[in-house]
Amino acid sequence: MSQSTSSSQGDACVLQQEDFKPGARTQMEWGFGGRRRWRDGALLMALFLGGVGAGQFVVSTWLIDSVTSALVGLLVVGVGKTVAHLMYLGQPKRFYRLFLKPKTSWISRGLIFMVVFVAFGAAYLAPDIGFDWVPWETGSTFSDALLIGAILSASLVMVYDGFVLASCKSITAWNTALMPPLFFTYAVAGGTAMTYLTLIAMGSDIPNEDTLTTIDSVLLVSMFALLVIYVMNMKTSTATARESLRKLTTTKVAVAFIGVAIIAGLLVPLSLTLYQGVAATETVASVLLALSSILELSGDLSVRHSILRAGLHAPVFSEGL
Amino acid sequence: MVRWGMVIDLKRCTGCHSCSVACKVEHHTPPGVFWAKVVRIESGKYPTVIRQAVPLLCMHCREPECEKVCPTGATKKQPDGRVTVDSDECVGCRYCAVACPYGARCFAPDWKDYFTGDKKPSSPYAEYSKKKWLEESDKGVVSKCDFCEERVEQGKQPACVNACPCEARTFGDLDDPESEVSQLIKKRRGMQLHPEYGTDASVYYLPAR
Amino acid sequence: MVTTSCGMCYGTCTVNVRVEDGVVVGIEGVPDSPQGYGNICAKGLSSLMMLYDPSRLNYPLLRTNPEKGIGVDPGWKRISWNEAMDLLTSKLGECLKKDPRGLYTVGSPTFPAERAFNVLCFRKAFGTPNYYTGGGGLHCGNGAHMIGGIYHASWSVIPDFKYCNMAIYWGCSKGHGAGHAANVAAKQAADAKARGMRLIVFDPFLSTQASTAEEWVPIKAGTDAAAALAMANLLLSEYSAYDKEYIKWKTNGPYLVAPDGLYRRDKKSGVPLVWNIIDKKVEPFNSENVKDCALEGEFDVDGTKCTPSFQLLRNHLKKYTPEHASEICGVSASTLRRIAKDFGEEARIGSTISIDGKTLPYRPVASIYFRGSQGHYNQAWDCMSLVLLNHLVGSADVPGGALAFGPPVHLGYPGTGRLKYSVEPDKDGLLVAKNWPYAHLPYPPPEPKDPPERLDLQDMFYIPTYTTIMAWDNNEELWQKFKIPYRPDVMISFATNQIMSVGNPKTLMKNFLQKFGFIASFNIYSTEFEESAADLVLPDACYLERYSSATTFPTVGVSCHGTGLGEWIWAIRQPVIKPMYERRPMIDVILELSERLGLRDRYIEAAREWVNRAYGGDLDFKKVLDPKEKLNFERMLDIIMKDRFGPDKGLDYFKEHGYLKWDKRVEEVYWRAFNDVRVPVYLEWIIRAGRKSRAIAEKYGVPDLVDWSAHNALPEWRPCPTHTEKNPEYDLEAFYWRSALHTYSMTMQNPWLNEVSQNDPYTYTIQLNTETANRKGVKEGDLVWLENSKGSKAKGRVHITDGIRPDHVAIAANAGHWSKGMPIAKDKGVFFNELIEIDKEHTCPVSLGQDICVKVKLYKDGGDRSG
Ligand SMILES: Nc1nc2c(c(=O)[nH]1)N[C@H]1C(S)=C(S)[C@@H](COP(=O)(O)OP(=O)(O)OC[C@H]3O[C@@H](n4cnc5c(=O)[nH]c(N)nc54)[C@H](O)[C@@H]3O)O[C@H]1N2
Ligand SMILES: Nc1nc2c(c(=O)[nH]1)N[C@H]1C(S)=C(S)[C@@H](COP(=O)(O)OP(=O)(O)OC[C@H]3O[C@@H](n4cnc5c(=O)[nH]c(N)nc54)[C@H](O)[C@@H]3O)O[C@H]1N2
Ligand code: SF4
Ligand code: SF4
Ligand code: SF4
Ligand code: SF4
Ligand code: SF4
Ligand SMILES: [Mo]
Repeated sequence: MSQSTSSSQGDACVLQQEDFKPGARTQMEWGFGGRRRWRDGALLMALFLGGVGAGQFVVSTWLIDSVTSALVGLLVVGVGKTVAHLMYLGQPKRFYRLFLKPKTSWISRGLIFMVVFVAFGAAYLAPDIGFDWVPWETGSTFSDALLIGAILSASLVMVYDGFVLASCKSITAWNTALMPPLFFTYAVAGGTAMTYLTLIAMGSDIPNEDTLTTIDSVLLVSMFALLVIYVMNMKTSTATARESLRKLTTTKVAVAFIGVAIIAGLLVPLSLTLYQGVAATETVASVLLALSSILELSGDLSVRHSILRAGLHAPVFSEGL
Repeated sequence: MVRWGMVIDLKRCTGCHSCSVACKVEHHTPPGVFWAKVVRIESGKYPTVIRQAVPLLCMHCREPECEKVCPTGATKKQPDGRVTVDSDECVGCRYCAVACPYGARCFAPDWKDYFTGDKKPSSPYAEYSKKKWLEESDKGVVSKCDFCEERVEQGKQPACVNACPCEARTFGDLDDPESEVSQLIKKRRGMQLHPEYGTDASVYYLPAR
Repeated sequence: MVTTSCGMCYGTCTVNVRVEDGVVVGIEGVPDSPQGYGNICAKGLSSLMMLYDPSRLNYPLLRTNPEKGIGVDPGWKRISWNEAMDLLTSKLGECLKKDPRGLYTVGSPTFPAERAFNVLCFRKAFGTPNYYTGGGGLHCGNGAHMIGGIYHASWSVIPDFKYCNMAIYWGCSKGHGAGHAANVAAKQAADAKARGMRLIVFDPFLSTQASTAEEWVPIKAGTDAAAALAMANLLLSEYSAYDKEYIKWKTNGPYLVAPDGLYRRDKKSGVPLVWNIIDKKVEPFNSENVKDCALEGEFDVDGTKCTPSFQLLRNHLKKYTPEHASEICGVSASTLRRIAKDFGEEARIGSTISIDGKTLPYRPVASIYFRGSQGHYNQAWDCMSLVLLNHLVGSADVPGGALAFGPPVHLGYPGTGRLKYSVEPDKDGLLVAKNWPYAHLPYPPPEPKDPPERLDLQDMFYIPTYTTIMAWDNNEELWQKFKIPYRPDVMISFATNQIMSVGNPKTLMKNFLQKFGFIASFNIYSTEFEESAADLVLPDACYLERYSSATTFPTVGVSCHGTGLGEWIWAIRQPVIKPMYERRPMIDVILELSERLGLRDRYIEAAREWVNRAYGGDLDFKKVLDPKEKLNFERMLDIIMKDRFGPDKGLDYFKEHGYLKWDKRVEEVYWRAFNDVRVPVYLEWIIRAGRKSRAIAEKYGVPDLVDWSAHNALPEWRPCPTHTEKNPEYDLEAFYWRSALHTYSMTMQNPWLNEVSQNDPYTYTIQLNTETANRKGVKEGDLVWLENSKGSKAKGRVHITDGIRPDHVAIAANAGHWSKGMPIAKDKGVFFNELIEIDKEHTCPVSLGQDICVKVKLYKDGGDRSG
């Protein structure tokens, strides 16, 4: 069965650009309103910045204990993600309304997580970044409690995007239990990469480097595994999922998905990580590390981009009618 | 209490798009915004091919996905079964549009003139429709079929029902077992689109064959 | 709120238009009106966008670039109406002095009511026989309308949706968006479908009608006659399913034909003879004595062996076996058999039904045809073959059968008894239509003019309404040979786009349009026609800004009533708002022009003739109008309305109500049973008429003007040029079909319709079969060229579908505009007509209608050959 309306030419100023490809209708609402204005990329940026920023905060505080890097993560979320969201909204002035329905809406929940995270994170970092008038000190029980709160809420920020996408019942490529772990894993990996880059930029040493490298490799391998499961799932699922897969693997999106996300973002960093362990000099190692971090981050962005692009609604009309 | 619903007879529908345009005239929707639309489905191999036109609009689900995901509460279930968007509350996040399984929701970042593509209306009529559109819906928010609230309040049929040359659309009270819609659904085995999503749509389709 | 008649197609649905503060803001159907039942299509709804289109013409424009041609910039200069009228008056005045026949008037079939007063009355008053309707008629009417006229006294046929159980459609959309009375038929067809009417559609393309039908029979284009004749043969010889009584008393089946092919006539009365079976002797067909007559056998009439014409038909059909037909039309013999058998059985020959206390034959089957099956070389016989099926089973104009589309019989508006007309038999007993919109009646044949006077030679023939002869390569030679003393001089075009609607525009331009000294055109846009050919463009008021008379009654050209019982309606078109800018209704210009040219009295005489023509009325404008009174259209309308409907129902009444309706009667709808008229199963008179035309052609040294061998009495299938194309490279047959979203080329500029068209996979594409696409390596959305063997080309994007024969390609509507004056229409869709050649090879030798299917090769843009 095929459903078709030829894709519109001309002035495409709105979301409901019907693009009925065989078996499915492309979601145009998020990110690709047909206008392809730079603003449309804002949603993708919000997803990306939210994930990697929160990830960076967690990695930096939990494993590395770098205040600067944690602060960068916090700002990436608190400023970057917020601005990206505001840019994307049709009526940004009413943004506060986004928080009103946490009972049912994952966006409300996610944004509340984000606010909580920014609040806890900021509170936790406050004494270290010049706000020493606050009545708690780093290392205090209270501060630890703040940290736990921040890490927990950061983790929710890292994972909620997955729930947002997974909640869309008709988009088979999203409506899967893999979405939250996938987004979470990518957020951790992206966070790690951001942390590396921040530290390298600061010229600092990377503490716990071995642990981190191990974690990174484990993450890369699990991301790869998740993607493989994801793809295999789609292969055996509905016609719409197969169409999504076709889009991911054979159209322009494949450049992002296979080229950037899998090859550049996963396989290359994985081999670099292995190689980096035996790298001759520190400089080489840190250059390699920076390189692989950048690649990982672009992989992170591309995966989110590809998944958005692969979002196809199941045909409104099922077979047999 | 009434529960408004619609029945579309696929046996009668020829896919003429009158519904799409009638809705446009009624609600002054700008370019690209279609609250009512028609898709065509083809299946089979030559020469045993089936082509079916399927008119679409908001299904006014009893369990609306759009309402569930809407973070602002702009999308509301009304007591009469309609699902509405309060354009003063909507922030234009488009989550509802992504979550709606029926592609019922449209987002217009801005009003545009049909001829020039400008924000400046090119005729007195364009001026009128711009005004109406901005009053009734707005720019930067999501909009969709409202089951022609104003017409129905005046005891009229929705614009698309009224226009349909094949009289393929029937509008009425699903809660009244004697209403034409309820009877059609019963007698002609009316079906909902994607019942498996649990949306429990208020728009029913009568099979063509 | 103003009630008027929609003018986006000739369906003329009654609409209420909402005006707020002088701005038109809404449009809806009028539920109480039988003209649309309150429903309205996408085109009608989009009227608002036509009214307020910033590309509309608002001022008269004059060409400043003396060069004309396709793609030439006319260099429009805005002028005043005064200048425009002076120029027009002087050009027409010169023409009038030189030879009024040099004037060509051209009008679109979309505005039949307007066309009557503009094109036809003005032409009459001016004194020119020359007019045509662009592609109208040439593509849709010559064969189809004339055959409809001969058999149903109507320009088309449609199933009796209320009672019909099985309808076969041969290339027509009746009730599926296009076709006639589109909205009325849409509801009626949907009702019929819901009731259980079986629809079987013969169409190379899975059209709307085919896709909603019970069965789609993918037939090769231009082969309908072969299939229908095989079915007729089966009905007669295998299934014995024919209505003997109908054929005996309602056709010329029993008329005896001598070996020379002509009727044997009664010496005294001169009428055809039949064989009286009871008294065993020949007698005039209309003799009271004849209680039964022979349909078969051979009878001796004064020493010559004569045969009932039905027997001749029967013998003739023998060669159309389903197997033979199958090879031609690509439909299996078993399918043809099955459908023929069902048709014969479902006809329930002999059964009756009682309606309103009248017992009538009940034949719930209908064979319906129109533009698709007529658009071919063999169109006259194609249409005859298709309509014949109804007349074999007796399903013509009886409950359940194929009904005349325009009302051939109307017993009068009850309030006044006016508008009364009926059908009648001629001396041979054959059906004569009294209410006929065209130049000459479909039957009896007009006397051919010797020599012909018209530039298209139409008047030396007997079936054609229009021809393309005036645009053939050898037109000059023909004009000389036929001693036509004048040449094209001035053209006035009323709402046509000939450049796009006729055929290859280059040919039309070179052979015809270039020959005019001056062309004025009324339009609402500057289209390809204006840009290529017009010297003066006059901005018309669109239908929402002007008056016109009856929009529903058939005298004006097109009937738009629904089929079956119900109501008649007389509706007007009236301005909803005053014409904006300097737009001016065509008729006002024409009336002023008539006065300026001193043709006032001749104009009202022509109008008198026209208005009274079908209805036998005696309205005389001269008696009512003060001789010094300036001509005014509203005043004329008032006079017409009062004459018809009584003093209280003048224009004011119609302005207020928009329309007037009254009940149809059984005798009007199922008129055939009530009128003693016959139709020919053997078109004897064509032999005679054909000989006369041929004699003229021979006399002037053009013996091969057309293939005279086709001017015969019995239906045949003859191949189109597409069927005999030898070069295997040209492997696809191309044709066009109507989209419900558009009216020919004129709605393409409408942004709403454009938008829905873009969201529809068919309207702007070339439809190609999946398998063929795979074989040619063409993918969805690819840009391809279609090229005919003469090198003419059309370009478009491919939509791949299984809903088309693998050996055909289809194109929707009339798109692919290129004029600057239609920016939204520009470059959208496919311009098919460049592929249609305008020449003798593509002209039906009998009806002179155009063959509009073409063999093409398809290749990708930038592929082996570049554009
Ligand atoms: N490819 C292709 N060719 C076709 C056909 C097809 O379907 N496809 N159809 C064929 C048939 S059957 C026919 S009848 C002919 C029709 O052929 P035409 O009668 O020439 O129809 P259009 O090409 O639509 O041209 C009508 C013109 O009228 C103008 N117009 C619209 N409204 C008004 C008005 O109110 N006043 C004035 N003055 N002008 C107005 C429009 O701008 C348009 O230029 O085309 C034939 N040719
Ligand atoms: N919406 C709309 N309505 C219109 C018009 C319009 O432009 N738009 N125009 C009006 C006018 S002027 C006319 S003439 C009528 C015409 O109305 P129709 O007669 O319905 O005309 P088409 O749709 O051109 O052709 C009918 C079908 O014939 C098929 N066909 C083509 N070639 C062949 C063939 O050789 N054999 C068979 N069996 N089928 C074939 C086509 O695929 C198409 O589906 O419509 C009138 N109504
Ligand atoms: S207007 Fe009626 S017939 Fe036309 S597409 Fe819509 S539902 Fe179908
Ligand atoms: S159809 Fe979509 S927009 Fe309408 S109520 Fe259902 S989910 Fe919401
Ligand atoms: S776009 Fe508006 S209606 Fe839709 S989910 Fe967001 S706030 Fe709610
Ligand atoms: S019910 Fe009203 S709002 Fe909804 S699609 Fe029909 S016309 Fe549009
Ligand atoms: S069918 Fe023709 S007359 Fe009727 S509404 Fe549509 S365009 Fe107008
Ligand atoms: Mo036509």
